[in-house]
Amino acid sequence: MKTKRTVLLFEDSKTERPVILAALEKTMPKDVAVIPFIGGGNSKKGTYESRIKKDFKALGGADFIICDQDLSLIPDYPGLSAQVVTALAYAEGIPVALYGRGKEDFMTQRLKARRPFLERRFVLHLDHLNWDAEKFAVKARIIFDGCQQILGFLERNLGKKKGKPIGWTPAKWMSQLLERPQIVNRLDLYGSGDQQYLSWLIASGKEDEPKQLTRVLAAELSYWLWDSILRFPGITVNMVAAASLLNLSPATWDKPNVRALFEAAKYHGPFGVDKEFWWRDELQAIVRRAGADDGLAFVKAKGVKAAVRSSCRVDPTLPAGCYCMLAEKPVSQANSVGSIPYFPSGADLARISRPEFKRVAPWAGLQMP
Amino acid sequence: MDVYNHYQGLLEVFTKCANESSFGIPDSRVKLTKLHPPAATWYQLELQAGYLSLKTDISDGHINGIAEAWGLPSGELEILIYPREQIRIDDPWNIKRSQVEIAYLFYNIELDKTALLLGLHFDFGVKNDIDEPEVAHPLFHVTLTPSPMNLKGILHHRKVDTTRMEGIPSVRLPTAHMTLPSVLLSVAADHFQPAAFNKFLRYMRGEGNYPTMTNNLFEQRMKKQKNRMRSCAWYADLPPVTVI
Repeated sequence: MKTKRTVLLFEDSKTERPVILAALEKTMPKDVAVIPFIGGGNSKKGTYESRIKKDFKALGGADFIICDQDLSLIPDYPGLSAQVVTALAYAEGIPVALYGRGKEDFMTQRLKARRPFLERRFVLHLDHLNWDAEKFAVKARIIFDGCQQILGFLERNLGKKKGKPIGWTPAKWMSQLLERPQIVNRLDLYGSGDQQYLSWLIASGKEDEPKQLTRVLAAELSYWLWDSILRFPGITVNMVAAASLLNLSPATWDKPNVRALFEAAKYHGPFGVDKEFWWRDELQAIVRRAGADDGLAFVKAKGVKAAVRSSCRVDPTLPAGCYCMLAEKPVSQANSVGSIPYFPSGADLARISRPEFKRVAPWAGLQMP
Repeated sequence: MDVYNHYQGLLEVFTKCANESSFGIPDSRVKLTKLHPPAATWYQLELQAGYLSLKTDISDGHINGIAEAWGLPSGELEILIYPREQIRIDDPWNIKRSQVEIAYLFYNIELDKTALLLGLHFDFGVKNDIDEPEVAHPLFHVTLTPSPMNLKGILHHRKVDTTRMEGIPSVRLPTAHMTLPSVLLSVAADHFQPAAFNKFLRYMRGEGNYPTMTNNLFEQRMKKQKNRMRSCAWYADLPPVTVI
């Protein structure tokens, strides 16, 4: 019987594999074994999909897969691609994180740009020029922990129902997971339009065990939370978006005494240790309850006299309020475009600055409103 | 003009603007049924799901401000809109009868109970033989009610507490010409975010998207009394909105 949790590493470079492995072993929890997939298994016949499944089963399965985008050097699997591995992970309900080389390399950018959660994968960066494998491993650990937290939540709650389907929507599950039952409709909006999101239900065969369906659902919720709900400001806000929403300059927002005023709005859910996030409603409620017009007035009323207002990146004479997803900077509503079809419906603070929009719109089939 | 595509287009724009205002709408498909087949001129216009359901969260600090404005605890607001209109297939504004019911439901998370906050129907109809409304009926009117004709089954099935609306006198309050497009615009005006409302309003002000009354009898009356019987909520006759 399997006692340890397992992280499976797909890395084809014989020189880099030990470095990454060592960093992961050092960073992952003590009850986690990190196993490299090195090929050369028993199965030599059949398609890559069927062979890799047999080799995977022979290894005892896994709880998390970390996979290089390029796997061409794995023995017995010439030209193996991450696509085969992600298909396996998808079928087994195992969260998978892909990585390319370098922080800003083409492959990583491409991975990031393609809405990873729709393709069911996390994206990691491996800065091989500086060989910062430890940083890479820390991020992998955060993702692993978040996914395990979500799986544990589902197992506990489905366990109460003795394996019977509860009939909850993904948004309902997510609202319970985040302990925010009052945001179920906005979560639903984040899921609407992304029809692929529910495709796992159709893909799940009748013979699948409830345990495996639980894993699949856990992986889906993990991708959704990481790459949609936390990524696109609306329900939660990242550091830049929080400052923009509250009409505070990033420098003002950075002050510990200012942050302390909004401590109650801090997000502490899964993946919350990677970057800082805040509940958007909570931030606004703190300001409203104090009777202030905006975060700037609130902070000043609390004695931070040197607080400075936010500035729109396009026209600094205007306050910001929103967040440009391309520049990752504060932007005003007037100088940005919202309701981008590629963004989740409920992410009303996630916008594109007008200059960026003009640049990318003709290539992305977007029309100027 | 194709009535089906006209209404479907209207509901799609409404849904998009609702989404931008943090309202979810699961189904907004139109249903047209011939009234006297096979050679029908008049059709009944309804929705595939029977009603339109707009849902939004209620929580402190939410952009919609409902928790603070209405003094409600955490929960969910659902606005049900149940339209039923008799319409000429080649002319979306030639409407013989219209009834649009609305119910505002509040789901209280703590109590796990749903209560009816507001129930009403907008009404308009003429008798077939004389093209005149019923005696002593305001031509277009609204009636407040705890049990709207078509929605009451849904309220009953969902065990909605209607106490708040019980005992309200059933009087007919004269209104503007509130068929489905006007009701949608009215709901948008009340609850959508300003940019989303302006977007919907711009669409409604587009060519032929906002109703004028073309029932035969009223058309004759309107010819005699221009600008006296225009439909219309106030916002439809204002100058064009500033682009936001």
